[in-house]
Amino acid sequence: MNTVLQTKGLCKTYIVNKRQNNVLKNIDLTISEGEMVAIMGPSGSGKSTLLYCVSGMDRVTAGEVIFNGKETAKLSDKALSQLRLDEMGFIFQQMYMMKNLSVLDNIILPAVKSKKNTESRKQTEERGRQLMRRLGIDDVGDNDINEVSGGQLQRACICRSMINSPKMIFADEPTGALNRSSSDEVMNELLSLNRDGTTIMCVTHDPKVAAKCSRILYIVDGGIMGEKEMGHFDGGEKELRDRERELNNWLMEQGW
Amino acid sequence: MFWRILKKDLKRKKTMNIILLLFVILCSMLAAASLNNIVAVTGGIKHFMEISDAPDVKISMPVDEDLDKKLIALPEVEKVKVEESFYLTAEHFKLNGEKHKDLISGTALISGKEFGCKYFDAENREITSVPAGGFYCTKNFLQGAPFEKDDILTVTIAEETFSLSFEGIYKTVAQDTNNSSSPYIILNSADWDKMNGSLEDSAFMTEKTIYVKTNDVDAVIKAAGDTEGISVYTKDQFSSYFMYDMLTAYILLAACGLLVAAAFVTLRFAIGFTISEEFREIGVMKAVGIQNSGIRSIYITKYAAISLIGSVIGYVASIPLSSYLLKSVQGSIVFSGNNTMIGITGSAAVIVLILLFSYGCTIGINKMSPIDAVRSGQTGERFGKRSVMHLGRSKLPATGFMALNDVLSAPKQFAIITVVFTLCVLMMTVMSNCAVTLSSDKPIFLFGIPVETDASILDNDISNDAIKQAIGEFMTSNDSWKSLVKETEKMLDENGMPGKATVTISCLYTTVHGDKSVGISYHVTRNTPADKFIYDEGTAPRKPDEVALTAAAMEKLDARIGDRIKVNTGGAEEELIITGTFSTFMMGGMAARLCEDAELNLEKLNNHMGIQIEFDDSPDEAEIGRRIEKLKDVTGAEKIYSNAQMVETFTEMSGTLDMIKKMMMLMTVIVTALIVILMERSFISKEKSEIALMKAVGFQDGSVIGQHTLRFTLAAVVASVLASVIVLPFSKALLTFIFAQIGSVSSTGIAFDAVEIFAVCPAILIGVTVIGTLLTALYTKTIKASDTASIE
Repeated sequence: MNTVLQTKGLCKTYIVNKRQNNVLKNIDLTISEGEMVAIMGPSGSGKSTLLYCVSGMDRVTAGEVIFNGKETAKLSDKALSQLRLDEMGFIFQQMYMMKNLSVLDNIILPAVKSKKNTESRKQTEERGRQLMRRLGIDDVGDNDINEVSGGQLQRACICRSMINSPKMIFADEPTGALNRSSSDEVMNELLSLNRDGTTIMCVTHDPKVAAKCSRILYIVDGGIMGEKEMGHFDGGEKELRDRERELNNWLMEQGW
Repeated sequence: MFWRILKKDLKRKKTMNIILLLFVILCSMLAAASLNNIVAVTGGIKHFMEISDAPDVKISMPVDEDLDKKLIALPEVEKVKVEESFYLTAEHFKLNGEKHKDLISGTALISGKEFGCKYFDAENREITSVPAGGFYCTKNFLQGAPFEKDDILTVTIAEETFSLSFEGIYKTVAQDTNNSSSPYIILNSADWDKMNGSLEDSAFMTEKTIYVKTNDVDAVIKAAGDTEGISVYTKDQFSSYFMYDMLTAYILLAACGLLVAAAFVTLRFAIGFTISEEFREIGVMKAVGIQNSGIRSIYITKYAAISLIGSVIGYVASIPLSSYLLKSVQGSIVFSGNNTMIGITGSAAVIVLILLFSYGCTIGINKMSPIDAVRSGQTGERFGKRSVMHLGRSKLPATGFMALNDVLSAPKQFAIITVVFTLCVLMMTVMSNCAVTLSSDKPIFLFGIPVETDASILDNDISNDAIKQAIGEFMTSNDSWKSLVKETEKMLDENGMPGKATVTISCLYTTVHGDKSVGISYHVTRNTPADKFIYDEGTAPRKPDEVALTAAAMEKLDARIGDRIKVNTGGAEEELIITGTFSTFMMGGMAARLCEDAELNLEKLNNHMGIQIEFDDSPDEAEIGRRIEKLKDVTGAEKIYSNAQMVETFTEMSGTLDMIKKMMMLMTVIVTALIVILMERSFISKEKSEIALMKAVGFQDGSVIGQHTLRFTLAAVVASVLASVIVLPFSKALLTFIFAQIGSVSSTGIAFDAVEIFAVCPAILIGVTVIGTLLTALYTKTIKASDTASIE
């Protein structure tokens, strides 16, 4: 399997009121193509910061981040933006979208912006509709973002993250603002994407979500404290319950 | 807790609060300065009359009459002052040894023995005496000639030469100092006596002017009525002396009004905007049980504090601004200057307005619910559809689409911005139109000469003997104009430019209708029918017993078309029927027009406008210019003008208006830049999460800055188009209104510089908008993609 993302000695330090706060400390991490990695850990452990640093949304203080063979620390802001646009997808806990655009337009916006995309506007729109159909929200494409439910909006965010067929999707608590049934639907969509070959890195607090991932990284105080290989999940309810149990036990051992 | 929330808000939103404070300072400064100017200008002449101790009646009369002694004996008369003067023509004067060739009219040299009223120097200081060997003059004596303090005026009378040192110009309320009128010089009484002793036949007129303070003007006029060769002017006629100064002042006021309107619309927008973006705080406060009144008082207190601090600073800043603005229009008038109370009232009005704005804006807080805190201010119930365009169906690039979609999705916001920008463009273009119109031939009909005139000869000093003689005899009888017209037309014929000559003269008569009595200037233009003039209503006077009046004169007389008025032409009383109304600047609008062959009592003559020429072959502007040059060569006259030059020379406003126009352009640039910064900063603050999201999904800084710049540019372009559509009717309405303040004018034509109003001014606005937004939008670079998760 090819490596998609690798970090070497990644450090991130914030200076708050002249006080140094080392949020990430010497993180070495390798994520291969097709993996679905969950980042877990207590609040304030640095999970989201790690996600933002490896995705190029934030600059690292020290160390290397190599995404798809490119060292992101050496890229300009412009090149980093291009990388995020063409090769990465993002899903956030809050379903951030542009208020003045319809749901469909929000989804296709990155594709319209991408120079890699050679399709006509009409073709892009059709592809956006196909993605929406796949995620079961094709009936809300022309709606405003305040006219749809949270679950529908998060699935629209997944569509947006997929529109440029990224190498990797970064999801920060993608189900954090959703109820259980919406959460399950969203995770199933992410699983489905992963099965189709998209690498996913997902920050979560929820063992039920993490149980669907192939590997778990447990972070405490800015360092990876534990790592658990779970294997790909493609079974039913029973297997999921077994994986959850196994994960909960492991998490207990980590001090969860 | 209340103060802690407020303190935290002021600290956390420091930049926005500082920008808001800056804008309040600007509004307060403009409001205080403008209000001060409005009061100074509208009450300007009244104030000038008060501080000048202006007479209620001024009577000019021959020196050998002793009317002054008769008047002082009247019980209704409080005080009589007498000034003695003699008139000299231009050939008697030399400025620093050079011939004073720009001087047209005879100049009155007044003895400084007793001043008829108070006179003021250029710095508005009262002149109490004239030093020996010195002189003060009215501004029209210099006619724009470069002449500095202590420069030497040489006066030659009967081969005796007197040298006088220039002390400065003086401002007077009781003398007409317009370019078309006789200038005045005040001398030390000893110098005047010496010159007067040398006069013999050198002066063409000697005169005594009586300044009367009375509580019964009619009694004075009645007492003076049967004295030979007098001219009577009442206090309310003095205001016509300052019509051009007031014209400039009113134009300045209009520009200030637009500026203040733009600033206040922006301020209202900014307050509403900043409150609406605080949905989360408001929702949380509601959720924890704070009542609406409590929440509203936080914001009202905040804006009260900002407006109080801003208004105080703004008031202080308004003092030099107000002085500067007034300085540009106080060539002849002593305005009231800085009135502390007026300025403070202006600043206080800003505080009240801001509190009203914030009170109005906080009404929306009542409608907000705790759910706003968790649903980003959107309940999904009360918001209309925002997405107007469809990205998939648009051919625009993403940045352009986003900008246009933002504008169309928030039409109210961008409509307000567009209105503000439109006001900014109008401020520049209207000033341009005023300046261009007042140096064009468009208002020529308001000066009482035929609109078909091509050129006017205002010089009396003409080398053609026959014409010179005719000018000398022109005012001696009602038929003497014929030889002047004949000789002028002959001269035109001989020089290959045949044309018709006309002359316009006017006399001041007391006019009565019912129990109303008004002094009206009656104009007659010889050698052209009266229907060659423009009439607002009715028809031209065609018979000697017919008259057209201005609307203002009709109003004063309480008369209508068809009514008969009684005119005291000096001893005799005539009855005239009103046939129509017309517009004019003359005599502050108190004017009448008679038919071409109406007889006038030339003893009551109060004005004549030289000789007007209408060429037979209707030449174009360039040809008229060439012919004027040829006429100058042929006649040796300097003062031959086209209509546009005539308007420019008479009003003397083009220089002042040009300066005001440039000043207003500079102020527009500053105000527009501040508006753009304030609004763009508000947008960035409100859209922080969207900016971060765009960056997270891969939009570069340039795209975000481009989107922000483009949408303001769109508003600026729309505003420029809008302003271009309305500038001409707006300027016409505004100029008509302003002209109506100083004359009786119901409509006027306007001239414009198409390049300036349709290209330069919009380009300035668009340029300032683009640069201002671009620089402000650079702030979006500080918003990082990772802020997506941490933004409230």
